[in-house]
Amino acid sequence: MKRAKLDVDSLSDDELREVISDALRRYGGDCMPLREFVDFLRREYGLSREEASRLWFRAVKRKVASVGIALVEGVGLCTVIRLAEEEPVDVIY
Amino acid sequence: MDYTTARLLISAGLPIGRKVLTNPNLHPAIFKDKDLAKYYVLVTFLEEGSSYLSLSRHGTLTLGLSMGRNVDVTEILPSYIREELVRRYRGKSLSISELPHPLLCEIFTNPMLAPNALIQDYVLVRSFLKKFDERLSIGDINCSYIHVSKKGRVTVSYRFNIKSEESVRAFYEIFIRDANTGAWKEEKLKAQLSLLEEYSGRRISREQWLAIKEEMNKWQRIPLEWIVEKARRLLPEITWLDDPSCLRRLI
Repeated sequence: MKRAKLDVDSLSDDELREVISDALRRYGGDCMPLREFVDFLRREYGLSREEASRLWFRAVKRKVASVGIALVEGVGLCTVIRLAEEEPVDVIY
Repeated sequence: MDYTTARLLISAGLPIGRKVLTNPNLHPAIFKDKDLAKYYVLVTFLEEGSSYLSLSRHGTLTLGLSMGRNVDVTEILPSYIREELVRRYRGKSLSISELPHPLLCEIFTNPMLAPNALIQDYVLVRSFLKKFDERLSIGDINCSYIHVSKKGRVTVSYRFNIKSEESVRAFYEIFIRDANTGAWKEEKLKAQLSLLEEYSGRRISREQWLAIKEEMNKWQRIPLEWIVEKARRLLPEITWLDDPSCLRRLI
């Protein structure tokens, strides 16, 4: 059953985190191919491709998620999304 | 080759390469010979990598390793994308979270755009770590910033990090422990590991963090005597090291 449609441009950080955590839990990893995340949003929340892109980009901008390149078992090298790591308080280079 | 040797060779007149433009692949021999691959990762870390200590929000000390490369993507980007970037950001650097729309973010995090050599570095390091212990992990290749030059060229910087303590220790065991290159970065990493050893697994106070900062301060800049001593060892026949004006080009 589809969930209630999301208003992607007004989601809070906690709501974004919840949507991404749910997708990662279902995928079974701490990161997943971005393409599969977009498919998840379309399938589960009935978002258009453009709305799904706006959602993950909002999460990146608000530093809730990060996107990068990783080697995923069974997929190969691809763009992935994961929840952003906690920023350190201080760094010494 | 390490950072100092590279500077020495440039000072001696060796022209700077155009890796950023040509986006080369690694030599295939590196993938066929395990010892060569290990040596390659070692020197790449010493030249292109960095190590850093950080204080987490929970008050614990962590040691991270990072390897990065840049690539000029001016000719690869679709012209309308390049024109948009130049119009908005000429002469500026920005992170992917500052980009105006998701399409640009998707383009800059596409494996096709990242430097070939960095992708191969990532695959090599990951495979060594996985062979050492299947549970070890390595961070994603992230786009750290995009630079749009005043001349309208677009250069992108990518890097990957190794952050978990187990993975950092494994990296040191596999590539660095027995190397003894005497490179500054290698010595700095040993000092950082020793601090990690001392403070690992416990919450550190602000005073302890400040003491660590002070201890690491001396590693921020390579002392001139160290550079000169290394230069004399590497190139015993050179005489221009005694000339202060030549020496200035090194530092």
